[in-house]
Amino acid sequence: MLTLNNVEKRLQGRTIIKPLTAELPKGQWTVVLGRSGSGKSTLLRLLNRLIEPDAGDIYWDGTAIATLDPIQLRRRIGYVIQQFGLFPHQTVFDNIATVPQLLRWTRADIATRVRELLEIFELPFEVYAHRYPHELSGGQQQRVGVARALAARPPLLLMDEPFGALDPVIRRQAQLQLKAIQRQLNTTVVMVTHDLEEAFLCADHILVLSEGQLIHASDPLTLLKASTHPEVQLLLGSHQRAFKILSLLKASDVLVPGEPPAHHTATAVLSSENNGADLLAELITKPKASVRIRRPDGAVLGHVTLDGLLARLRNTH
Amino acid sequence: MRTTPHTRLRALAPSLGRALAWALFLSLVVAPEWYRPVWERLNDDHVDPLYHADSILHLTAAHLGLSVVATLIAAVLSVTMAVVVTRPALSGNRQVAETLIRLAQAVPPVVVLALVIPTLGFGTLPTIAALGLYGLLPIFERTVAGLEGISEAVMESARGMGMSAWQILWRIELPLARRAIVEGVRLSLTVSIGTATLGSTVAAKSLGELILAGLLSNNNAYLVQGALISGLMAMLVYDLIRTVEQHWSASGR
Amino acid sequence: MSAPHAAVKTPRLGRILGLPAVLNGLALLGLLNWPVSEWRADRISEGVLHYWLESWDTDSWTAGMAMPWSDQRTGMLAVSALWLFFALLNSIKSPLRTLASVGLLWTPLLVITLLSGDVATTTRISLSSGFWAFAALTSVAALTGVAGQLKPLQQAALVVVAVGVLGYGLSHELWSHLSVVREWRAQEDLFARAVWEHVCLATTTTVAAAVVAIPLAMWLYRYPTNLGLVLHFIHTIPSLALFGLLMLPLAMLAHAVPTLADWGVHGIGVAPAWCALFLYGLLPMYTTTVNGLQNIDPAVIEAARGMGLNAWQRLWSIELPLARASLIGAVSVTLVQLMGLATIAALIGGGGLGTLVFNGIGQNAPDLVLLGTLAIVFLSLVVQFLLPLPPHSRPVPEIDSRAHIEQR
Repeated sequence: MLTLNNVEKRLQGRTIIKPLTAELPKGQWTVVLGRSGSGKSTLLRLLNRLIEPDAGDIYWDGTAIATLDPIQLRRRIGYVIQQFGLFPHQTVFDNIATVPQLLRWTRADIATRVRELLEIFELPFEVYAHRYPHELSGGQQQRVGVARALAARPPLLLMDEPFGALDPVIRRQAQLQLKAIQRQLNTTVVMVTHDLEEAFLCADHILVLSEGQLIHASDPLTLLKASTHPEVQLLLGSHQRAFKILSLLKASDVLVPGEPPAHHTATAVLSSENNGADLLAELITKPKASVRIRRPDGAVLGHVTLDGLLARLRNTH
Repeated sequence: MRTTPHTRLRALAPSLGRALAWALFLSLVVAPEWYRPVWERLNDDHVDPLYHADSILHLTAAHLGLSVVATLIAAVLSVTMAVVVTRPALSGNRQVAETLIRLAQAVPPVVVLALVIPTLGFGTLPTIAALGLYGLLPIFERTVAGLEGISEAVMESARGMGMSAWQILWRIELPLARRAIVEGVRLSLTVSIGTATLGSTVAAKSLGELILAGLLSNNNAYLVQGALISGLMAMLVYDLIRTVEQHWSASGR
Repeated sequence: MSAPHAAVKTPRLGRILGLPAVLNGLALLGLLNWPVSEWRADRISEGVLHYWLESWDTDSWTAGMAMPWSDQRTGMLAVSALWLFFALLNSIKSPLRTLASVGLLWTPLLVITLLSGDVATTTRISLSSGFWAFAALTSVAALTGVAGQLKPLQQAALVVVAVGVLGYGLSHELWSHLSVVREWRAQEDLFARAVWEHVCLATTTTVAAAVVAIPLAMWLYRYPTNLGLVLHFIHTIPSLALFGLLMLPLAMLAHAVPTLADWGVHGIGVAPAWCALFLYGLLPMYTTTVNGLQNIDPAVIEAARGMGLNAWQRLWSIELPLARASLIGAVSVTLVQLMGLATIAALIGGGGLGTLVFNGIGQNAPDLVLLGTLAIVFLSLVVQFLLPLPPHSRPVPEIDSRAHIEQR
């Protein structure tokens, strides 16, 4: 659990972060949401001490990070930035192996770990391990960047707009995949973004920042239903609420176990991580259709119908 | 595009030219007697076109040695200064370093040679000092440009991953600036080879000895030999380093 | 995961600056330890070494000719105190640092003035390693305090004052016992002529190179050519060799066309030197101009073409104005290089300040060499001061883009 206590930061005379207190729960995905200039990137950098606060303390599982050696600290934290920052002169293998090497893992362990990660991110070892960053597509570079951050099995992962440089087409896939991985590993994630959709898709917990102040902290659903702060309203666009709720609903929350009714024409198969918006998109044109839902590892969990989806939506609202 | 004999020839031309240049250079150095008939035409009758006070091979080797040593020293100094000057905490020293190095370049090597004679005497030492000073600027400028050209994202993720400043320097910055550094060294070495001829004015062993002898005794053959060999050497070294660097880069990065 | 280490906080070392303090300290050590001057009865006799501290006790050093103080000791005290004061302020972060650094730059001159005490009129004083170490080290320390801190107007003022002081001192015989000044006085006309020859050689060849290379660059910069390679090849020929190589064809030319010989074209002398310098000047002039032209945003040229400007109009109204800084820079870079290379012209009889340098070497008169050197360096600095360098060789932007990430 990360705790920030009255943390302040000033840069070149301007106050970037006004005294801020927050808790980021362990094992959960916290999104720091805000417009440009809200101080969210600065907040992230305070967590791995790339920047030092002017006032206040930051605690990680009870220990003040100011008392730790910053370099050792950073080796225990995964860090992903928007432009990836892959080392252009090193292969994919060497890039991913960076922190394990710093931590002096054995060669064998490093090799095993790299293989593991490349498999998780669907980049076959034989093809990609010895390629250089400039030989990869944007999406592949992003995956390598995240793999690199996870290489040393850090308990905490910090990400600054990690999907920002991706095409909208692959962005959704990348978000879903990472969410699944995070669930598996139970890593604590802190992600900075200005993209609302992304926040709602990924977050277990949202902190909303505006001009350096924390104006809201809660889970996404509560944020959607309860917040009255004008800035939040601005970010949300209240008349779109229903659609926002759709994007919060997971397929796994809505599904009905078992096979679809016989008279339905089954259409696509979607993942349990897809949200209500994806489901609606599939179902809306074919009223007598169902969507099968499967887990990321392939097991079929159940199905969703349009009626079921709408019913659930009304219940939630 | 069809490969006609014409295009194939054009593609081969550089390698051919290179081979010819190397052949010419090596033969001039190792077996100058082969060219006797050519040199004889340049001189008045009965003036021996071949240099006998020392072997041309020895002079060439000494010449190359001087240049290489001077460039190495200059490289170590410049790269160190460039690294120092690009550290955020020490960046205040940058103006001073630049001013000093520009000053070192402003004084022509001949003059530096003459100035250090009282302290360093004659021969190899003052020549290396003069060549070294003159070679600082190309390497320094390019190394700084190379280090500063590294993308911000790379530096940030390196720091964020927990690399110490030294580790970042060794594993990230210097490898990424390698191209620029090699370019600077290449230039510096080429200029050094050209300037090392002046070392003979202070009794250092170099091809300048041949040229000076030619100037003093009106022996055109000496002049041409000295000029040709040193010019070829400079060109071939330039070309060699560039080829090696291209291969190096092609294999990785 | 959490292994509490001691907090890593850099202790505040106070406001003492490491580098200038060290340099000043070393300067002082050098001055005290090593001989500061060498006295000779005349040009060729053995020299007697003198030390700075020695001057305190020696009676033979009495009142100088134009000294404002009554005896050597007072002078020494005054200069030492002044130096100490400036050096201290130079080594500490304080608002007076820049001013103190400027003052520090003057102290070597004060020391020189002090060293030329009352001596027999023929005695020549050479400056020795102790003085040079002191002057060099303390000047660098002063430079760290001055670099980047002075506005152009202040820089110009400093230069004007320096020239004024030098002029005053020389005309009032303040430093006439210095060997360097002696050498100058001994052959003032020769010196003046050497300077003139040197400047003429360097400037005329630069202008010629500009006239040839700049139009070539403007014409060819858009196409990949081998001209750069050819010029590069010429440039790699050692200067000495090129001078020598040109002598032969020029001699033959003068032989074949006698009128040229009447105009001064010979195998030796200025002609081969001039030709060699011209050829050398072509490369820097050409490549710098090409670089400048290639750095023009292609979008601008595209827009100009699209608007219907023809090649000439584009050249005059768009390309040249935009590349103007590079053109001036090209001339500057070339002139500096040729100014230096012109020194070698002396070896083949081309005159210039190189004659002083080589004569000095031959006659074993280091102060003659020094005279030539000072003149050459001064000319070089004047050029660099008057003509700015081309833009792309300027240091990268002042704002450190990593400033937002603090050091641990």
